[in-house]
Amino acid sequence: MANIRLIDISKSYGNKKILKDINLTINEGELIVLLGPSGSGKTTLLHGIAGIISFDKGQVYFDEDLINDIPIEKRNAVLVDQNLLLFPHMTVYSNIAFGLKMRKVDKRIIDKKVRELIDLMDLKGHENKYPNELSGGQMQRVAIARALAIEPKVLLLDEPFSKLDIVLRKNLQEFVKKLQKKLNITTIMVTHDKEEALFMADKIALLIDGEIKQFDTPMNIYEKPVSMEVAEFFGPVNYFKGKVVNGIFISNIGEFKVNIYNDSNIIFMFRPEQIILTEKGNIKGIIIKKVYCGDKVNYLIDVNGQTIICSTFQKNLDIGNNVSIYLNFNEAVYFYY
Amino acid sequence: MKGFLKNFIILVLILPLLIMFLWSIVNSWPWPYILPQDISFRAFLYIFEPSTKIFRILINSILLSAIVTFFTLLISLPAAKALAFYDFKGKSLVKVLLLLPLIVPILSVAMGIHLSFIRLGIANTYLGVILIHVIPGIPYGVKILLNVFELNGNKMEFQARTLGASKLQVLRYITLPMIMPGLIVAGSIIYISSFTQYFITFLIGGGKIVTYSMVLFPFIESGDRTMASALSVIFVINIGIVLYISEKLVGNIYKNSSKYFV
Repeated sequence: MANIRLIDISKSYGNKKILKDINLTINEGELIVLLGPSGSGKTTLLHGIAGIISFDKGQVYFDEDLINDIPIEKRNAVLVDQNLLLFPHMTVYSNIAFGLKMRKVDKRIIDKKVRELIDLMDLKGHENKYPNELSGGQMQRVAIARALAIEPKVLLLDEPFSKLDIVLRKNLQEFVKKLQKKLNITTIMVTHDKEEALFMADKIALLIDGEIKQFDTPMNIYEKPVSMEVAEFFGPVNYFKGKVVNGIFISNIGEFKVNIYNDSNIIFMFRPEQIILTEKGNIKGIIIKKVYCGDKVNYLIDVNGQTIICSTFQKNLDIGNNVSIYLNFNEAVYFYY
Repeated sequence: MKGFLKNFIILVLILPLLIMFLWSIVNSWPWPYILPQDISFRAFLYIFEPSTKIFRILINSILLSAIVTFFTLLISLPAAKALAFYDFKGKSLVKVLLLLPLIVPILSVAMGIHLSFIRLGIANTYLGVILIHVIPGIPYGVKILLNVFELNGNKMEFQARTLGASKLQVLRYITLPMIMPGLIVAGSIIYISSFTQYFITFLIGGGKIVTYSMVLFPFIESGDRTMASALSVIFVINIGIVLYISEKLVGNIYKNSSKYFV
């Protein structure tokens, strides 16, 4: 358990800059998700913290200790890879005991610890099985148990659930989240799945092209993105361009009262679920497309030539219907361009 | 048809061995008899007669080849690992050069090395013979292990290290068990390569170091078919045992652990 500080981290492969001056502070016991598209440098950053690769520039601190030059095995930062990497020639028991055995811990203590973890991870009865005899979820739990056995300072999870089916994934996400809070282990998890990130994280660091675009709580990063890039990463958005004159936002979909007084070149952002269909709306439009999604329906609505995407529980509307839309500009996020 | 072809091929492979076996236990087998008339164990008795030293030479040869196998693997292992996981200039050239001992006749290599060995004072010694036997073994050792390393990758090693294993512990508990099938296969091929060497042993050993193949040769040349066959039968049995053990070991490894293995 430690806090982690990353200072001015850079890494290049050949001419390609993978990480550009990353700065990040992670508090003890927090679960941080490094979120980003593939190729954004998430795994590189994680491997650098684990010590598998070295950064070109910058410092990594666990608490007050600079760990740049500390070898992998002395860092106490365990990686759980997306391929799990259970040792195929060892049983479940030996896999979990591995880290303790390498530390030459007393056999009785190892046994006690491993049995505890086997209970905790619901792996009873599988102790003597080899990894190929386990199901995907069991293998996942063995990999996590093996990592937890050595009571690491830092737990590094590299897309740990990406190979599981959706039900199992949900279960394990909850399980790991609970466990992490219970054991209070500082955890960094890498994923490209935004739902997983929003669900799991205490804070999300959005990494795009080797730069951290925003580091914030899931709620803030989703509802108050600092840039259009961040906003778009979390799903479709509607933009309304215009200018504000004397507290009135003037745009091609109409004029609205806003909290800002005077500004030109402003863009208001609304997520599809913020487009509210109601009798008392402040703009009018026509539905041009309907996409049924089960729990909700997505409508594409034409307003004065601009297409708006709206996500709602109202399923009874059809293409060609006139709708009235309410846009709450007082709570909307805006950007400048 | 398929069954017939299979049986035919097996027959073609087995028949010469069968005839060799028969030849080893006859006194004479003149034309036109299909089966030998005069069974005798004189060849085997001769081989196991202590004064002929043939049995001792056989044991010596087995030991020599085992030592050669050990050293060749010892050299091949780090070389293969470096080729698999480290990037350096001229890596692909080195990979090609590794196969050179298979392309260039080993005799020409040995003749060149012979001079150096004389200068170093290791010509006509066991050490010299072991060293010269290592050379034709290295391409097999490195090539097989290189493929195993490339297939396995080194992620398991890194995983073990994040769990706190030192480099030496990783080698012992992860790398060696993971590449064991490759080591066994490479080892048996290197053993056979060493055991079957004739001329380079003769050259570097200067006739003082006598291996089993060298005992075999004069009997074949002099036309004593019974003796040559008996010696060859033992030769084949020795190699057969090595291959059998290797198959068994690799089979057991596969059976006892995961399909992750290469």
